[in-house]
Amino acid sequence: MKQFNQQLQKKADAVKMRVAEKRELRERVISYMEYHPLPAELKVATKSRTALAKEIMSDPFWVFNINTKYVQSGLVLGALILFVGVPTLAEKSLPGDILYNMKVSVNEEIRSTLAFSPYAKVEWEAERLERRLSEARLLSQAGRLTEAVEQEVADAVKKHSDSAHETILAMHETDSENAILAEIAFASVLEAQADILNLQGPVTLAVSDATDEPTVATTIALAVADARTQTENFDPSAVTPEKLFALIERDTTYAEELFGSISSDTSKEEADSIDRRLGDIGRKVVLAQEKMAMLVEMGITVETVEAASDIQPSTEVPTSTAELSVALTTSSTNVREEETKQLIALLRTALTDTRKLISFMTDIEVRNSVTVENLVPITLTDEERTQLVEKQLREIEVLRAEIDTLVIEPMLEEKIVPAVAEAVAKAEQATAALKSGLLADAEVFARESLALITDSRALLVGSAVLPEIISGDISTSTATSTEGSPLETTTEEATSTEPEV
Amino acid sequence: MAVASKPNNIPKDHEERFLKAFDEYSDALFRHAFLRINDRERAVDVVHDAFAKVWTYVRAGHEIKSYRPFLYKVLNNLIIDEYRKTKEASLDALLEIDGIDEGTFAELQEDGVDSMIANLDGQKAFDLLSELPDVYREVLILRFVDELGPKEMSELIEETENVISVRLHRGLKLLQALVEKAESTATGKRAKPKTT
Repeated sequence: MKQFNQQLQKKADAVKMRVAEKRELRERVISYMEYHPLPAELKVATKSRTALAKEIMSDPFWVFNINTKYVQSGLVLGALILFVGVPTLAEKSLPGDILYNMKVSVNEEIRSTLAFSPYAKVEWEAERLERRLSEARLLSQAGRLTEAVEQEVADAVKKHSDSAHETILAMHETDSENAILAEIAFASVLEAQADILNLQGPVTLAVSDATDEPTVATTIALAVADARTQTENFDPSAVTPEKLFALIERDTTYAEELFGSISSDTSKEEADSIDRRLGDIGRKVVLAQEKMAMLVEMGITVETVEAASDIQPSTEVPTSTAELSVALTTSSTNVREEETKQLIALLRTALTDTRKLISFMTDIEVRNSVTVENLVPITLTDEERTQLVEKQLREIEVLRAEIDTLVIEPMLEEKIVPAVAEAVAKAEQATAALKSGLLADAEVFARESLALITDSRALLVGSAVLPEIISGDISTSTATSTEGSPLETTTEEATSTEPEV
Repeated sequence: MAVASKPNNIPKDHEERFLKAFDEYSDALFRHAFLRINDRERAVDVVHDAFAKVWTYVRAGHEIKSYRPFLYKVLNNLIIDEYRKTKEASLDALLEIDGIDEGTFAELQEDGVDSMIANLDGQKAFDLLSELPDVYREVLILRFVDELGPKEMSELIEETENVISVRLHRGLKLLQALVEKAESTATGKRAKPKTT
């Protein structure tokens, strides 16, 4: 075998290209290569000695060629996720979530450093307080509210209200007016939240599993109540009403905007009732403005009186006029103070109502557990009040006619007759008051008269059911506008005044 | 294998690698081509064409890990093309004869090939290679001249190792017969003057 291979190989080796043939073939191949050169990307750049040396040096290392474009966009993306994505996610977290700490100790702290003025700081503390409470509501709705979290929320409420108070006190020394304003705004938030919590109490209790122990509502509500007692009693008259107006204006604008944005997904009834409350607030503001105009006028008259009294202070003439003017001034100053207090009180109610409405509209949990009727009772307009009095008067008329037709037992006669007479007299007084525009008086008379006549009739018929029927009748007939209105108290009084008759 | 045996010496440049392959394998390729087609000039042309084709392949961006089998493959295809041009009819006939038969057990034994070539004169057999049909000549040249293994050959001509083994066996048998025939005619010629 070896022999055969060797012999064959020997012969085969003899078969060769001649040198000339080979050279020619090589040239042909090279010229073919030259006519068909490699595309640029396949060409390997000839390397200099230093480049080769570098290659040797860097050989043991891995070299990653990463396009700087990708690196940049990757960095941008990473930064976006870190500085926008995570905080945004954190904003929606609740106590117990991973990102909750970030929300409270990063996001909110950053925002509080952005609140430059002390006033803005107080506002931000108020918002943080509201956030804590709404988180607690969400958790309680989901059945995730543990005692620890509850305590945490209560602590947070205390912390934020303390911080707000500190800021207000510090502010009071330099800028008392804004401090009082901040105080009023903060108090309105607290009041709104306290009302919501009070209304919500049973709901929260039902959700939490511990039945006997003080639960969410109580622990947190206590914290809020505590915060309310802390409020400094600054003299509210130091605030110019204009600033309060501005505050209310801002809040109501926000409330209107909110209403616009949520009106698409609320029922018509709810939308109507919110609209009505906004209208009420608007009317309160108008009333306050009228009051203020009146006060301004008053101020001018006082000043003129003062000026008049200043003319002849040196003369020896008996100072009767001066005394008079002083008395006038003091009395009018008292009136002014009284009026200003009323004005501020009115504005505060308007502010608190606005806050409540805002809470109601922004916090879905509040909306689920509290009705707007309970949260912000309706305020009747003068027209509605007049209508109500007129209606009551008509009812008195009807009841009187009914009593006339009934046979009065001698035993009851001495009770019934004077009562009816008094009722009729009061009804007449009410009518008179209504005519002369004294609405408040007319209301009182009409209410009393109605109570008397209703009781008389009840005695006559001998049924205790009757007043209820009547009250039901009345409240349904005025249901659209009078829930929680004076009318209900009327019927309540009707039942309570019964023994007197 | 030349390429495999020099792993540290692989040139980085495409052109460099290609020319290196030319210098290393052009002789062997020429020999193969010449033995297959028996025409010196045409053999040179075929080798040139093979290199040109491979260069086109490189230019298209393909990476050639080992040049030798690739060059042989291209060359073999070109030789078959060459055959088709010249001896179409006879090639077809030959392929028909070979293709159907599975081969006997003896033909499938590598030992059989060894025992057969033990008594065969290599030089005489080489001279008579051109007399064989190309299917047999191809495998015999690849095996004994180019010294390819059975696996390489099977990859190159796209036949199973069994088929190659059978062809080798039959090729050698034919070659043996041709050698014997030549010898007998030679002895006959030598004997003739004696007898005559």
